[in-house]
Amino acid sequence: MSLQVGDKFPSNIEFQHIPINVSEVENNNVLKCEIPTLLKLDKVFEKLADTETPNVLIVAVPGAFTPTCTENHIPPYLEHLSDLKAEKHIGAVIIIATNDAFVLNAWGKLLIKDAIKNVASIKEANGPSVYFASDVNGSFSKSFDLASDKGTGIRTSRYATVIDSKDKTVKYFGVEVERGVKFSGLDAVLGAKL
Amino acid sequence: MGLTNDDKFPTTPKPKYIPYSKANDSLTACANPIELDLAKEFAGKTVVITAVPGAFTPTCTEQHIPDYLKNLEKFKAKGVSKIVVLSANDPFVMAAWGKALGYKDEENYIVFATDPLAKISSELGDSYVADLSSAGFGVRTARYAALVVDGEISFLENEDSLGFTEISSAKNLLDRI
Repeated sequence: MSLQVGDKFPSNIEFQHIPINVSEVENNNVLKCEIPTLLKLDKVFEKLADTETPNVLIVAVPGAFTPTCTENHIPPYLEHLSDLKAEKHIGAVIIIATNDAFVLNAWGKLLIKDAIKNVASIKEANGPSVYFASDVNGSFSKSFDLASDKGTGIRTSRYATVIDSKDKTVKYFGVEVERGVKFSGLDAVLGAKL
Repeated sequence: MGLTNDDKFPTTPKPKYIPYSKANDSLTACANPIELDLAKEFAGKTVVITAVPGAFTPTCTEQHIPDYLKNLEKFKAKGVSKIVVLSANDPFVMAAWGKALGYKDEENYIVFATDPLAKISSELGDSYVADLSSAGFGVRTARYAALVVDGEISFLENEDSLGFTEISSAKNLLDRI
């Protein structure tokens, strides 16, 4: 059973992450490691439910530091954080993969630093919260048939979904069926009716 | 029981890695992984293998690998032909980590390679892998170091509890060559 628009998003979903603060990331050393903590989606929903930006965007990628994810998929999102907020009322952007929280944290910091080089304004602290989090063992993605093991460990499909934190319904879902970024990319989300 | 001195160091499954090249200098630039033919690397040569539980994790990043990077010239002077850093992370992560640690030399004297599903390490013995599934990290390589001379193990020891001590330090290996 895949995710579907109109469905109720499940409760008690947790990822592992090391928090990243976009406005401070330029000063962060990529090699500085901290201890991973749980990212409880219910808390994210709770925090945004009564705000002007109640939508939560989750983007899943097969692997941190892999070519498509690194070059085409995630940077456009990071460079358009303010558009996601202004046009689509997105208050949180959560990038997930089955890599561990250390790897995702390092990757996230590097991608955000690169994005700031292109669009300096995203480091102003008024954009959506950004998380790079581990879908540990792919358990969330697997529950929606969005993860598989092709012999090198479990990996998620490439997909994006938007959830309205007010009523926890899925407002957008797009998954790639072939290589490349079409249904799960920035343009698809900016073009979606939310 | 695991492998010990004079046993052949396992060479399959072949580790995968992305050699450093100036064209992929940026930390977020990626190329395609290739296989590391350990049998070929071992033939007639002295090779250092060291394994870590995870790229970008605190101990590996702050202590273990920097210790090796500081001593590359000493390893060369002692006739070590290559240093192979193994972990169960995928080759993309390993390549990015190598660059982040500051190793940017097309000589690729030290390579950051994937031990596929920690299978090479498990061939060495149960104490050379660490099942960290309960913490969400899956099966990882333990922290260990080995000296391989012409394909045979001349030193192999793992760390207790995954820490970094004298056992897997560059100095310990250099003293044994």
